Amino acid sequence: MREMTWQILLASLRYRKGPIAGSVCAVALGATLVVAAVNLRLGIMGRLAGELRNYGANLLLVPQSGTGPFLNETQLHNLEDSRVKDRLRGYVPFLYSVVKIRGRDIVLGGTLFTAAKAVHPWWQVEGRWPREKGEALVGLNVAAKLGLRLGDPLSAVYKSSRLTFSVAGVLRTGGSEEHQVFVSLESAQQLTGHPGLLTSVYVSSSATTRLDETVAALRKLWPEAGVRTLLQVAEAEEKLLTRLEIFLGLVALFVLLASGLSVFSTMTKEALERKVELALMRALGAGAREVAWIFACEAAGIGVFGGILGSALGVLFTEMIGLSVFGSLVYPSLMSLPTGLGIGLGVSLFSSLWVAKRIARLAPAVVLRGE
Amino acid sequence: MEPLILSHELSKNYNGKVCALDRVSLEICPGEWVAVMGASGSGKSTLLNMIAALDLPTSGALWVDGVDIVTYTEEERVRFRREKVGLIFQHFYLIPYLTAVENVMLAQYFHSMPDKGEAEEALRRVGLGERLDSLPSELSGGEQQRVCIARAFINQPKIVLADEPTGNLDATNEETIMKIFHHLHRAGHTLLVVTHDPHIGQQADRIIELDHGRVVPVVSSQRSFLKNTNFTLSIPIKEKHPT
Ligand SMILES: Nc1ncnc2c1ncn2[C@@H]1O[C@H](COP(=O)(O)OP(=O)(O)O)[C@@H](O)[C@H]1O
Ligand SMILES: [Mg+2]
Repeated sequence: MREMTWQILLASLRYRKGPIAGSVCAVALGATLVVAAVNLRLGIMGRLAGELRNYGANLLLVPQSGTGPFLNETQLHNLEDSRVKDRLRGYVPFLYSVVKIRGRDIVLGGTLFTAAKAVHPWWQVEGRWPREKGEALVGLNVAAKLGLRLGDPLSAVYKSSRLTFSVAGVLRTGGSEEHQVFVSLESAQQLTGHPGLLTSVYVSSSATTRLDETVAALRKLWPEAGVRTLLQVAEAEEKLLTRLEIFLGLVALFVLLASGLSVFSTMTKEALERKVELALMRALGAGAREVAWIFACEAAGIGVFGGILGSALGVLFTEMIGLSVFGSLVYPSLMSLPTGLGIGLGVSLFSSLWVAKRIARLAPAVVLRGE
Repeated sequence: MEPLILSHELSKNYNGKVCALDRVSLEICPGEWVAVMGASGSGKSTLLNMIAALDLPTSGALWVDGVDIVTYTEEERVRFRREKVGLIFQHFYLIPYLTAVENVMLAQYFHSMPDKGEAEEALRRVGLGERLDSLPSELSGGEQQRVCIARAFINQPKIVLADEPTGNLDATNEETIMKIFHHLHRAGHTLLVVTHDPHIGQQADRIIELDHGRVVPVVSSQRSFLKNTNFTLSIPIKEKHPT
């Protein structure tokens, strides 16, 4: 019994290779683009957010108004708390003050260089990053103005105290940092007489979390710190991602509609050509349900083949985008195959059952009259 | 004898206008070979489709094997077709991608269980023992029609309905087919064969003639033949009912 079903199906598939291949291709096309959209959404969007986040910190912690001009360095442990740790990519503390260098007022920032490097990966340093307490990183603009070169000594004067550094590197950021000089946090605290104090902390939140929730968590953990969103970056980032998401969704929807229509029209044409065959089966005593079953099995075959093909092509397509946009491969989502199969089966079964229903309404007597 | 097919004032209107069948009443006994004759458009195919439960009459009753099939639901009509009827068409309808033997097995498949040996035997009996695995496209018209005949008989149906079975065949093939019909008739099958060829009609036990959807009354000169029979609306040609 089962054997005969297979026999009919296989013979039928073999006999109508052309139209079947057409249907498989149409299904595969739909599945390809949906799988690609899913992979882009899951894989590349995360990457994109990460890359955008690389443009720097998106949160700034400063003293809450009414609590004085400084934050306490010992409170930094709040950022290591398990309630926010996973939400943060990194943070970097600063103690800013204005000092005199070679007779000019210059903004001096004390910081932790390793942290600064991690949170601001686009900072470009000519020479090298300072490694010791006595070394300084000089903004490009300051270096030019004061005629400082790598290895030159540099004395900073704050009120009555003075510290001397040597220039380890020149900093290029494209921003205001080029007008500043950076030394180790400890040196700055020592020079200005503010041991253990900070003026601000730049925080970079992780791409996968919601910014407003991170802000709320930070406010709770560290009440003395005011949290400011660096709006330019954060908002632009979220707007861009939302737009990309909508765009991808729309593309997937339209492609799905187009592929559905194409499968649908192939199957309709097929079925009308096969109506004699189907009428004959019904005259031989096949119920409308049995005929629909044969149709559904064929459609399932087309759906499975198209779905698998589409999943493979979809992943390939994603990798091509990954390579051209990021220059690296994207880890394909585990949802690729289920998505492809789901789309393939959905599209083909829907159209075939629709068609089978129409055929079942044709009276076999009329079809077999055959004049 | 209890008639196998009995119709009472069977009528069929298409679109409420064309009267394809007009109050047809007839009886057909088990084992009888009846020819249905008449001009084109006289309602022969329509009558056959009613008896095959492929179509529903507009009014009237139609008993087959003791049951009024007009009252059947769609599901019951499907079962009726599969169990009681064998159909042969003028256009030899075969599934193009199945071999001769598979086409015969298809009827077994819908009926109950495919049995390859039995299907092969049926094809051998119509002289196609050498063409079992040929596709329809590899067979001549006469051979294709013989596959259809084998398929119509494979499930031992109560009635075999043939609609101009030799209409598309040459004389030689026609003769082969008619030989098979004679053979089946001798074996006790009930045959209802639509034709407009008098030569074929005369080979049947009797002829039912249709004209514009009505059964043509028996010509008066032939009445005497009918005195001792049940059949008032048909022309017996020879007396040879198996009893
Ligand atoms: N499905 C249909 N719709 C409308 N008219 C039909 C249909 N089938 C048959 N007819 C009409 O019914 C009449 C009888 O047709 P038919 O039984 O096929 O005649 P025959 O088989 O004797 O040539 C014809 O006039 C035909 O045009
Ligand atoms: Mg006809």
